[in-house]
Amino acid sequence: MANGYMGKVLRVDLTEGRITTEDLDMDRARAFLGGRGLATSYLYKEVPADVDPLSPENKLIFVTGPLTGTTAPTGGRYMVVTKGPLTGTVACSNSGGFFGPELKKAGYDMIIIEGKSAKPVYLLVTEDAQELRDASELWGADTHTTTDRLLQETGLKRARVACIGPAGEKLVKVACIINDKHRAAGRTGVGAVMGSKNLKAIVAHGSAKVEPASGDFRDVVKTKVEKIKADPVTGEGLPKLGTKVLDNIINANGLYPTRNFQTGVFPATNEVCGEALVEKGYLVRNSACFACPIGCGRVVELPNGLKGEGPEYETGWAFGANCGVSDLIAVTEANFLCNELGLDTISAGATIACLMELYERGLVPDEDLGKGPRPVFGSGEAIVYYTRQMALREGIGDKLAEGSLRLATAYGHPEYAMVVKGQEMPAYDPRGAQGHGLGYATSNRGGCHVRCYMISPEILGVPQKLDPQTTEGKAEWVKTFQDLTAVIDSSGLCLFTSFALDAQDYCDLINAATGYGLSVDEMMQIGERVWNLERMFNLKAGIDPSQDTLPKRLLAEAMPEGPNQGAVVKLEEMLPAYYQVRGWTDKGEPTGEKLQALGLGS
Amino acid sequence: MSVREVIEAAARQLNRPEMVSKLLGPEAQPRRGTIILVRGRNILHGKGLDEIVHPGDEVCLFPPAGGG
Repeated sequence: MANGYMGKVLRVDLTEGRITTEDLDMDRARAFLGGRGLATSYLYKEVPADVDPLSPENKLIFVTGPLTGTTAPTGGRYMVVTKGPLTGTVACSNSGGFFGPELKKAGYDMIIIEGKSAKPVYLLVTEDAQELRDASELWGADTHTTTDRLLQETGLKRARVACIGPAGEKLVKVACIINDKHRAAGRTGVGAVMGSKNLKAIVAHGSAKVEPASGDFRDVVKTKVEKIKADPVTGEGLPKLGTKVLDNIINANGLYPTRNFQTGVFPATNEVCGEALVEKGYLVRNSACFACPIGCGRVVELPNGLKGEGPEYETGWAFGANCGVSDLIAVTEANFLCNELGLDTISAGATIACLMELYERGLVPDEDLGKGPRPVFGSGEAIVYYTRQMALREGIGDKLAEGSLRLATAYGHPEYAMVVKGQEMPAYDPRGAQGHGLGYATSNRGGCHVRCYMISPEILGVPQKLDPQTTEGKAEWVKTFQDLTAVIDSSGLCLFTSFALDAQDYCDLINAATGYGLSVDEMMQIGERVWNLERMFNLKAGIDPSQDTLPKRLLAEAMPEGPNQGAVVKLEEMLPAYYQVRGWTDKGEPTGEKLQALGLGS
Repeated sequence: MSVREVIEAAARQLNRPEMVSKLLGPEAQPRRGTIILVRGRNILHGKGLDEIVHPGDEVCLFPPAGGG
């Protein structure tokens, strides 16, 4: 096919041990583009929204976009779509590296995993063979060991592996899927869904070419790569310091969540920031995903000999400022553990931060800690210890494994869980950026910064600078960011391109690959369609619009210090406008008219 | 001093003349994405480069950045 797609879907029934290939529904591909949108459309059709996420009836979908595996800049993304066990919402976790392109080279746009295997298995996908193989010997292995052993066992040295570690096997609700050892489909517990199906790994290998529709594709790509390299964010800031270029910026702007969002300023930021990673000599070099001209990845080696990739901004924050920890070595070790054991770094760090606050408030008895160190803010020992406990469900780790909301609820105080719809919020205190708070509250997968990165205009000034403390006009911005992000997630590109590229650029790339001839408005409508479909799934799953909210701390407790001292999130000023801009009822439900207009009417 | 004067003075003191061109574009205004804070507040929401800096104020100069 010369349109960016391979035209094939692999359907794997783990219960029956049956693997079939079917044609990709091209009408669906046209309507939803690929990636996040396409897989969500399959999930919506095939999985009852009230399904138990860890039951065999849930499905786990690995999906690429039409730009995945092409030479489009950052065309290496794939997504994992399912119903998330952490939140009960639709889950779409995005990852980079090289696994996604390899899936397309093996000849597939998407793999749909159904049912549950009676024993641990891994799936091998090549152009010539698609088979389930015994993974009993690998069960219990960390993601690095698993990857190495599978490459050896299959004899396919250039294959790519996506797998779970012990956390996914033990159905830890914040377990992730790791590919290429250091890349994660991180959030919402997608790793637990994989573990619930006794699926240890997918090994992909192939040499098929992904063919774009237009003979001008190469020229279009060239202009976009030049734009990305010339942009100061994607051409300089991200390559040099990685995403941890943000630590000092966010702290100086007073919205760096510290000690479980108790404040927005961390005095020891200099010890754990991106500059420190370089100045302390831990950074070896940067690394890039498939076809990526940015190279924001960090290859790191610690003085104690431990090596790996990261920490990224979110990880460094989750185990750093959010836990009050200024020990960059401990933060990096916790990061490495998450990659090896298969944990979402944001939720893992934030859940430990929640434990720390509960403990310091006298709500966690010492006997619950077993032999573990006291989980007090600032303890580097605690963040490493309890990360491992969480992944293995050992001791209090069994409670940590359920995520911060269930943890805090178990100790009688759910208000200390900094979550939206049950998922831990990332590294920006929305009392310092009102629009970002609206984005958190309305995210379809719970606490998430990438569904709508309002930090870009409100703090970073890209594409233009908005006053972070105003609420007027933020609803329109949030909708636009959410819809454009849904397009990018459905295309197979990385969100970081959006610091340099605009909507027209994405339209040019998508059209050159697919031949769809979309206008920008038509492309944005695809994003709106994806957003509304996710909303419909969530409503059917029982996620009431009353959950479009934030923790009480952010709505009612003024920021105690720093540039945003006195601020709370003025959600009540923005949410009604957001529903209106979305064309939803004032109760937050898509109207029949809106769904018809998007082609989603039943 | 104004913020503009602070940047120029810092560039002279640190012997880093390129600081001025890196932070300020051809029209001598902050380049897109440049973040200049005075007392924690972005100058773009105040008087821009004419914002007055008082003794003891913290001025933060950040190049364009992004992340996740």
